Amino acid sequence: MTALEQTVGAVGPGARREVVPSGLLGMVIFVGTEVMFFAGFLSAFTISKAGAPIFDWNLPGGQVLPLAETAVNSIALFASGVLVWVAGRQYRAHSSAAAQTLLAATVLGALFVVLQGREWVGLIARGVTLSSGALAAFFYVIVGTHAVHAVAALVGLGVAWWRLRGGRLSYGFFLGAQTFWYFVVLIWPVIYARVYF
Amino acid sequence: MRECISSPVEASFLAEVPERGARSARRDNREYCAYVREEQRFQPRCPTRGFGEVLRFQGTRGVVGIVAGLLVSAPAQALACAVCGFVGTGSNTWAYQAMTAALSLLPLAMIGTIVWWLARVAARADTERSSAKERVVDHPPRVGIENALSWREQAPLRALDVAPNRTSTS
Repeated sequence: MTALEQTVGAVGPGARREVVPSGLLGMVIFVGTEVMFFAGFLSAFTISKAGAPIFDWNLPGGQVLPLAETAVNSIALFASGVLVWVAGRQYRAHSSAAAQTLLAATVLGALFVVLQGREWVGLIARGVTLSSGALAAFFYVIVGTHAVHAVAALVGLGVAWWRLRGGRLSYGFFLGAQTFWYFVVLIWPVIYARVYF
Repeated sequence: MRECISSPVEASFLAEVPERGARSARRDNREYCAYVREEQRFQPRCPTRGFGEVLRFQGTRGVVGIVAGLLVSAPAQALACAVCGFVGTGSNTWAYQAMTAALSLLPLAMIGTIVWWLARVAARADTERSSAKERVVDHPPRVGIENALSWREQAPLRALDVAPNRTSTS
């Protein structure tokens, strides 16, 4: 039985019907605001970068942002996104493997955040701080904000996994957590392409 | 007395009328409208309430006029980033215009996408519902149908709130 059949089948004629779970709709609207939040940051970054003198848009000591390491971290994030999608299919098929897949996705997402944190520690050790210049400031603010969102989404996935294990996970909550994680995964390539290059 | 009273007649009238809205935390009785504080000016039933709105509207028009004048007389300044002050470089102007367009169109695109998606999901639900109705009308539920149909096959019946008949009819 599809989710749509579940929803349509749950109500009688003339009754109010919920074509989209409220949790999902709320999350979609929230994600819309978050997209504008990041769009504002990236817009400020783009305009500042376009107007700044070339010698002024560097990290101290001629250092560069860790492109290759971040690309490897990004693979973990994308793999996590794929696993969340697989977990969604398994959950709808009432497969018992959904919990394990969701846990694997959460662990991969946490790995991304930890590896990003490791990069930050390395940069700070080399003297790149928030006050090192415009590029460093933008880098820490934008990537840090994304990391905060990733942690929040991981908490959502963790709660979803915990409830799924106990058989108490609602479809709306799962869709909400899934949607937020998709947002975190899909906004990352935009940030990576814009800030790191 | 209430928030802002201009005459004794109005005061006596207002004394009879039940008060609407929240009272202000600080309020001076018998205060002339010409000398009311700004917070009192915007309270219900204050005769000078509309003046503030007119003044605010005129202020908005002034800002619009200044911006329009700046745009016509000094387009390079008007197209510069409002906070960083980078003026005159072509790439900066291009970035500013591109980002302005992106930030203007992005919310519209998102709202449009959400509305389109909701309409699509609702249309799908309607289609499934109407096809379920037709199938049930063509093939009415029989005795013991709950045993004959699988859970998936019973979905059209549930959509119509038609429980399979559990009692014998003949």
